This record gives sequence, structure tokens and C-alpha cells, in this order.
Amino acid sequence: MELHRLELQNFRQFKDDTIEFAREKAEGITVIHGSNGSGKTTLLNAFTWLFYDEVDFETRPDRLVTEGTIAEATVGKQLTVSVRLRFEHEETEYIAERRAIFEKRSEDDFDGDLIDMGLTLEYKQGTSWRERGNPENSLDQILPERLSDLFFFDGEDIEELAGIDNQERIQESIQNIMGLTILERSTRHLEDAAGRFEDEVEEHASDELAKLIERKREIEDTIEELDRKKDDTERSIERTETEIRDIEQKLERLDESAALQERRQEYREDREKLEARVEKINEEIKAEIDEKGFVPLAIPLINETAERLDEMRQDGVIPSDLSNSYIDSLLEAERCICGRPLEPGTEYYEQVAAMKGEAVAEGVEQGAVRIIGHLNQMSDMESAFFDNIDEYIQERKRLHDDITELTEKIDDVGSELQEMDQKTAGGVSVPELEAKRESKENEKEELIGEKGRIEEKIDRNEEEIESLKEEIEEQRDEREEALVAKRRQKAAELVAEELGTAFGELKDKVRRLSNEKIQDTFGSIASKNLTAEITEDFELKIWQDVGGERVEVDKSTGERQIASLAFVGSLVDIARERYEADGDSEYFTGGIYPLVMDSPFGALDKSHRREVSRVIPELANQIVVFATDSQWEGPVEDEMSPKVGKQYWLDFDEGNDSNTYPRTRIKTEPVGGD
Amino acid sequence: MNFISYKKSELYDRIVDEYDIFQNSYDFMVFLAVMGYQEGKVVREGYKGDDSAGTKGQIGVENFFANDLYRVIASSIAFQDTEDPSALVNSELQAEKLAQYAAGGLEIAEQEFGSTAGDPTNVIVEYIQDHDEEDSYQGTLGEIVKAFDDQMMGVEED
Amino acid sequence: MSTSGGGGPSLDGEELEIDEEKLRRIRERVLQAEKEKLHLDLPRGVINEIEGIVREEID
Repeated sequence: MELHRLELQNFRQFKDDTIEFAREKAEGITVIHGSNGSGKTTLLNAFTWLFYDEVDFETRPDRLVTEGTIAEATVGKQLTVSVRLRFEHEETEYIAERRAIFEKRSEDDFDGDLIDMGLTLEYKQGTSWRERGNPENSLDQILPERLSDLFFFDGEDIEELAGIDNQERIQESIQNIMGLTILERSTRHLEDAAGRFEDEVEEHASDELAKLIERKREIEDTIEELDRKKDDTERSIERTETEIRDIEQKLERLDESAALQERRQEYREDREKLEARVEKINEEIKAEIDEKGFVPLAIPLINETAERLDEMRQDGVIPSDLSNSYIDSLLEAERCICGRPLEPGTEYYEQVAAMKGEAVAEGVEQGAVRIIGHLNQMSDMESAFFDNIDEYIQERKRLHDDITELTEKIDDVGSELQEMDQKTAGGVSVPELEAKRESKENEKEELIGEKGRIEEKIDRNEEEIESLKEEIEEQRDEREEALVAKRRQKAAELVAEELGTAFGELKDKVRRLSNEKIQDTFGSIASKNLTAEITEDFELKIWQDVGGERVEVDKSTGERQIASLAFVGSLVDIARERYEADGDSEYFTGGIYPLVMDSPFGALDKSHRREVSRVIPELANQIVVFATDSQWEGPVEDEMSPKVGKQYWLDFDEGNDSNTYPRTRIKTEPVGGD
Repeated sequence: MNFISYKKSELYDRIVDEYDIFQNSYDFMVFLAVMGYQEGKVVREGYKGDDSAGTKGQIGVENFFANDLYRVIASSIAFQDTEDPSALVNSELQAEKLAQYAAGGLEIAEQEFGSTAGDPTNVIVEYIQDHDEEDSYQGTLGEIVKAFDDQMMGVEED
Repeated sequence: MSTSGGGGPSLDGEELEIDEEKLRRIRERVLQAEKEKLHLDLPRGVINEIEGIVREEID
């Protein structure tokens, strides 16, 4: 299918606009620039409305008519909404148009009342145009609805393909793209028909035959039930395995926790030792103060005293030899050395008198000598004091630093432990967890055993059915109706089997084909040695090579987007190849499809944008991309510009409610303000 | 004259008993006296403390003067305060002056270490380091020592 | 699995043999019927159709 021209009339904010699509393969990209809210999503909806009468609007989904148009209309007037698409498909030109007629019911009616809706599909034969009888059907055959969200996709939605639980969607996409749905349905329906024929056989059969058939049915029911039980058991096994894993994780954490606690305890002990040494140092410092603290402060005192005494000695105030007789004479002279009069009976007189005797024997001279004599000692003490204090303080500082380091380590371990506590259920001990795990393991063993038994039963039952089938077939005394019915049943079953087998094989073939292409695409753009794959279970997974091992990655939005695009691209590719190839079956025609993408770059960072921009042009022959300015400029523009055949800009005018209404015009030039 | 009486305060309890910085109260007292002298602070009244208020400290004279260094300090303080050489041999006078300067030093100490929360050891160390006057005594003192030594040749040193 | 070219059922057939050609025809017709109804989400009538095809072919 190749898009040619899209014409919109009164469709939401598009009053009267046209888009011609780029068609050259080399420049097959049409870019539509528009800021958010300017109408990109509306354009996408125009396609789905045209094809399937489906829209997905966030605001006012029922309001199809352009506001301005209905506002200007008089009450009772009928307004036409139309989307018209000119396209080519399998070498025939088509014009598809959907029209909806709305009537304005009242002055403030902006929705309008839907009077009529119709779809027409015309195709060109020779020089004239003919109309297709069943346009919905025909359009759906050209672009089936179930494929539509692959080809008209919302960039934000498509990354879901690579999300979890989307196997069905992937399987469906594969089925759909290759017409495999036909096979899938045929198989199923043939089996249903076979069932009906079996009923007939039973109806017309002899008692014996009827009994056999009944028995067969019973066994089939039994098998169905056993299958269900087996599924349940499998789920239980899975659940138990998950529980076991949880417990093992908890145990691991407890182990880690214990190791951490031990380490912390060591640190604490080390710290205590250091703190004890600090204590010791503090005691030493105090001892120094006690023994020598006063010395530095006293030295000036002693100095000054020594100096003064020296002066006095030089002045002759201190006689070199102060003896008892001198004192006597002093007393008699009633004067003391310092020149003060001595009054008998005064305390002072008594004091000087008392200098006689032992105290005087020492003599002032000797007092002075004592003072001077201690100076050296004191100076030594002072040095020792300061040296020791310095040493102690330095060592104390080192110890404090070490203590701080240990404290930090202790705190770090503490935080780690706290974090672990939060993840582990508090308060469960190791023995308890071990016991729990053991019981879960036993449970699992039992379940596995049960599953085995169920499987055996299923096998036995299936064997029985096989032999019953043989018996049924060999029943001779049957009426003709029964025989015919039997043959019909068998025919249906045989064809079903054949189609079923083909279906399975083809599905897997397409899966593998798709895989190859995905890996090509993904491999060429995604970084970090990633690969994408559709597994046998049809899950889209992304793997990373980690040291030789393959590990599934939690996909970032960027990777998911790319994987999904790669997947869609692979399908488009396969479809195109099938179409172009010489096939003998008209059921697997494939097709050529355009891709219409709304903002595939939105959630991506710059480098991913560049990569996606490289991929997109390869995905299909014709591509329509919607992008905002900020998404376009930079890497996207760089990569895609050479392949852009047409560009449009959506010029959105909000209107001012009084006489102008919201409206978007599609322009071929950039909108002002660039 | 058997005791030296001096004024004690709560600071004594803290520094001597609680934090074990000085062994005995009188050790602290000498330290304070030297502080008081250096800063020029002396208390002439009430320097003996009050028994009833529990602020009286006492040390036996013999015990006290058995410590040579303390004797030297006491003598020097007394001498400096009176300018009288006979102070060098007057133990009663020395006791008095010691206590007076200790009381003065106590006031300074209250300011410097009294407000420290917890163990004031580090503050005391800092105080000593800050107030250590650069030793120029080597020069002058050396001469004096030398001169006296010369003079005292033959005299017994204690 | 081949046998007589005759169209009618054989009353004393040891096995139920179905003509290869018939099976092929059934297959093609069924696929065609499905193809036509492909665009429908719930193709109810088609099972009846298939039943009819088989009836026709196996007389």
C-alpha cells in the first residue's frame, strides 16, 4: 500500500487541509512538524477513523466537527466531516473516503448530532472509477485492523511491544502479517466441525459404537481435567521455586549481615583500645602539669628575683655575709637592712629577731643561692615539660585521627546493616529460615512427583484413546449414516492436523526470520553489545553479553523503543519480501505497508535518537513521521534529512473564543518564529 | 605558724578531685600563686578562705617547705612583693604572700578555666603555652648565675 | 493413503480411507472460506460453512 494524498475537511482542528506524501523510495519520508497539541495525534486518528471508524482522542472524543465550522453555522445546518485518502495498492489506485454528517441542534451545540456516516471505496479501472461493493471488507483486506496498530503507531505506545506479557501481541502480529491467522482459525474450526461429526456418529451408531464414542469423550474430558491440574501443579511449582529463591536471598543477607556485624565488632574493639591509649595520654599530660606545670610560669618570677637580688647585692644592700652578729647590731640599731626602723615589741622586730637561730643560720645569702641554684633545674624542667607535652599532644592527635577513621567505618557498616534490615524481614532467625526452606523444597519435590503422576495418567489416558479410536474405526456393524459421519469426522481431523502442523512450522519460521532481521537492525544501532530476540515463546527479549554469558537486561526506554521498532521493521520487511517473491500460495501474500509514526523519539535520549533515526528509513518504503521541533533538530534531522521527500508544519492557532476557534493549518513552510 | 592557709573554691574541687589534674590542693595553689604573680593579681583581704563557708585550705608548713622548688617560689614571691631580702628567710611572710597571690591567681583561673565544660586539662596546657615568655634568661641569667657562682665559691649550696 | 477412485463409502472398509484429492479440496475450500471472513472478529458462520464443505466433499 502506498499513500498518495490525504484530504481533511472539518475533521477536528483541520478545517480544510491536504497532505501529499513523499513516494520516492530514496526520499520516501514525509515529516510533519508540530508541537504537542498542534494536531499530530489527530492526523494519526484521521487514518484510523477513515479505515475503521476508530478514534482515540484524549479530549472530547465525541467532538469530530471543527469547532469554528459548527460555531459559524446556523442551528439546523448540516455539516460534513470528511477524511479522504488516495492510495495505491497492488497496482490499483484507490480513493477511500469516510463522511459523517452532523446537524447543529442548538446555538451552543458544538458536538452536533450524527445524522449519517458512510464509507466509500473507489478504484480505478482503466480510465474510469468504480465503486467497491463492500468497502469495509475491502479496506480491511488491504490493511487489516489487527495490523493497524503496527503501522499507525503511537511512538509512546509501541515500546510496549518489548514489555512483559506481550507475547500474545507479538504472536498475533506475526500471525497477522503473514496471513497465518487463516491457518490458525482453520485448524480450530475444523476441529470444531469434527466434533460435530462425531456427535452425528454417536447419534446413528450401534450401541456398542455409541458406548465406545461415549467412553472416548469421557476420557477426553478426563484428559482436559488432568491438563488443568497439571497446569495448576506447574504454577504451584513455580510459585514454590520463587518462595525458595526468596528464602535463599534472605539467608544470604543474614550471612552478609553476620559478617558485617563481626567486622563492626572488630572495629569497635580496635577503637576502644585506641581510646584507652588516649586516656593514658591524657593522664600523662595531667601528670606533667602537676609536676612541672607551674615551672614555665615561675621562671620569669625567678628571673626577676635573681636579677633584683643581684642588683641589691651590687648596691651592697645584701651583705655578702649576713651573720647573727649583724642581726644583733641591726636590732640594736633598730634598723633592718631595708632601712626601716625597728620598734621593739612590734611584730616586725620579733621577726627580725627570729632570724637568729636556724633560719638565720641559713642566711639570706643562702636563700638567694638556693634560688639561683634551682634555675638550671627549672629550665630543664621547662624544656622537658614542653617537649613531653608536645609529644603527647601529637600522639593524641594521631590516635584521634585513627579513631575518627574507625568511627567512620563503624558508621558505614551500620548503614549497610540498616539497609539490609529493611530488605530482610526483621526478626527471623537463620534456623527458622533454613527450616522453612527445607519444607518448601519438600513441597516442591512432592509437587514434581504429583506432576509426574498426572503426566503418567495423561499418557495412559491418551493411550486408551488411541486404542479406542482404532476400535471405533474398526466397528463393522454400523449404519451408513454413521459411517459417513465417521468419514467426515476423519477428513476434518486430517485436514486440521495438516493445517495445524503447517501453522506451527510457519509461525516458527517467521519468528526466526523476524529474529534475523531484528538482530541486524538492533545490532547495527544499539550500543553495548546488546542483542534482541523473539524467543520460542514469542517474548521480545533484550540480552547483554556479560563476560561471555548472556544476561537478560532490564530494558531502558531507549532500548525498548529500538527493539520494538526493529520488530515492526522486521515484519514489514518480511511482508514486503513475501509480496515480491514468487509465491504459489495466495494466502501468504504479505504486502507492502507504509509506516505512520507519531513521535517515535519522544522518550529517547540524544544518542538513541540518532540510532532510531538511522533505522527508521530502512523500515519501510514509505514513512510518515510526526515530530516536534525539539525532537527533530539535531541528530534526527542530521540522519533523516537526506531521505525526506516532503515536509509539513502544523500551524496551530488557539483562537480566542470570541470569534476565532482552535484551528491547525498544514503549511509547507516552517511556521514563524524559527 | 604550722599551717599555710589559703582560699579554696569549687574550682579546686574540680581540678584536683574531679579531674585529677593536680595531685593535691596545695600543688594547685602554688600554680595559682605563680599565675597570680605573672598577671600581677593579688588579693590582700580574705585570702585565707573561710572555714565555715568551706573555702579554707591548709597545708602543713614542714610538708610544704620540704619541696625545694616550692620553697624557692615562695621565697621569690615574698621577696618580690616586699622588696625585702629578709623575706627570703621569713617563712611566715612567705606563707602569707603565697596565699595572697594564690587568691589572685584563683580569680584569673576562674575566668580562664572556670567556664570550661568538662575536663579543662587542654585549656590549662594552652594557657601555659601562651604565657611562656620566651626565655631570655639564658643571657642575663647566665651572667648572674655565673657572677653568683663566682661570689659563692666556697659557700655551701642547699 | 490411497484407494479406489469410487465416490461412495465402503461398508466393509478395514480402515477409513479418505481420498487424497478430496482432502486437498477440503483444505483449499476451508482456507478460502476463512480468508473471506478474515476481517471479522467473530466469524460465526464459518464453522457451519466448513461443516458444509466437508459434507459436500464426503458424500
